[in-house]
Amino acid sequence: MSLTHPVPAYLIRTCIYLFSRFWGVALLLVLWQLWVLTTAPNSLIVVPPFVVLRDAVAEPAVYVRSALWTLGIALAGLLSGILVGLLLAIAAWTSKLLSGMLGPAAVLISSTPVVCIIPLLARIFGYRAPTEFVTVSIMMFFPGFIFASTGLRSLPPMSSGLLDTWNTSRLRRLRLLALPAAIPSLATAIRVGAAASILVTVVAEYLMQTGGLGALFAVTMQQFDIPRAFGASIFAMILSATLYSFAGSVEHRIHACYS
Amino acid sequence: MRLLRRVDLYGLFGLLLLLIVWQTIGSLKLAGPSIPSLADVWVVYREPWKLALLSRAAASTLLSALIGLSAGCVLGTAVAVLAHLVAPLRRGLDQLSVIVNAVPAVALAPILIVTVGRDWTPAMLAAIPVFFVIYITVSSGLRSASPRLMDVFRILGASRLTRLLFLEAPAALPALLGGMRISVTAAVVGAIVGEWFGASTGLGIVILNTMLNFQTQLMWAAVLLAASASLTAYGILGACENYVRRRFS
Repeated sequence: MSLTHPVPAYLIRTCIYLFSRFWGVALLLVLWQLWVLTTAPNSLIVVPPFVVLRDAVAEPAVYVRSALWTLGIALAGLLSGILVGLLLAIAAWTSKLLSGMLGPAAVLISSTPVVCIIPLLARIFGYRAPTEFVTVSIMMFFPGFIFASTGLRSLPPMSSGLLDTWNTSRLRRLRLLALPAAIPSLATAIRVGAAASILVTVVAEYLMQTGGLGALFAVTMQQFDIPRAFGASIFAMILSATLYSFAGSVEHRIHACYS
Repeated sequence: MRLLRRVDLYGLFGLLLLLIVWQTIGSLKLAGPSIPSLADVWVVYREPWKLALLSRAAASTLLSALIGLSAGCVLGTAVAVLAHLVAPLRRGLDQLSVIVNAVPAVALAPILIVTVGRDWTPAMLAAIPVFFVIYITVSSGLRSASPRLMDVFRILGASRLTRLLFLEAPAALPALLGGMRISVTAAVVGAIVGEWFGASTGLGIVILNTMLNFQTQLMWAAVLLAASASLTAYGILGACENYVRRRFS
């Protein structure tokens, strides 16, 4: 009877798969741990990843509750921003005058550092969760508008000529041709905005302290509870990366359906 | 050409309409004292000491944004080339770039202040989003080289380095400039957010202090300056991108 047990093949395959995807992240964590161990910076500023992990395991409910709040605000802001962008793109599609007018205005708004005027938005709309929603929506409207505008114009070859011969109305043309053609571009807009929506929400929560991971980070930093503050930012990072990857896979499927 | 002129005219009209709406909201105080009229903001630029303050602050912020943009471009391009040349590293580098981009700036700033100092924190926070965008765009640009030309290079016995330098790198140049155009606003915002954490000067400091002191006109003057700088850089890089796209297409 052999004393050694062979390692199952699926386990080796899983390990190789995980290593090929996450070696960079693992390296980052190892370097962080080594940096803290070797240089021993002030523990009121930096703590090792192991201490952060221990806190997350001890109090998961605190993180999960805050993460769900942040995710809710970010998703609502992302989708409403994209929807407003789409509606404006449709308005621009229907009229050359509106198209010429909305384009420069959209670029001007996108060049304004909205993140920097969050405190001002808070003063106008109040220090409440809806203000965070408004902030994220404003930030997300630009990718929605740009990608929807491109999508509404990327019609299949000859399709426009075919609808011309059928004398199709502008509304039917929008419903049957332009809107379906814009779906892949809208999926790209959602992917582009996905990661940023979480980050903008976290900054808004940090400044307004109404709830969510940003508020958790701000409050725990003020209390010098550094492991929890780092845990909150790592949860935000994981949320942002996961949402980006999820939106990327949805976009990939939609593009595959439409190609 | 006539159509282009008409579109330009519509654009100008749209911009004018936006400014008129702003002026009306500000004059009638529809949004309270938080949004002053454009005429009131314009007055700020005509006061010498305020103009000097804004100029100094803008110079500092734009320098940080420029350093961040340059560092992000160099690093993003280098990592994209590495991922392109060494295929087994690609997935891990993709994931690493997503994770680095996903770190909230408010969490990173205190660590950067300890490691690189207050003066370099804005540039570092500007570099991170630029790195991500450039990594994504250059990676896709390097893969966009014509397969037929690639076959020609292979048949002629070109080395991997020759193919990279003379075929893939020129193909990725428009994507690089496109990425720079997209990320220039993020670089300015990154620099401004970085300044919130204790930089000695900059538009971020002006925005924060004027907000706390209810000097909304000066605050909007600083915000508009940041927006104008981003818009100008966006336009210049857009023109460069169009030129390179025509040259290399």
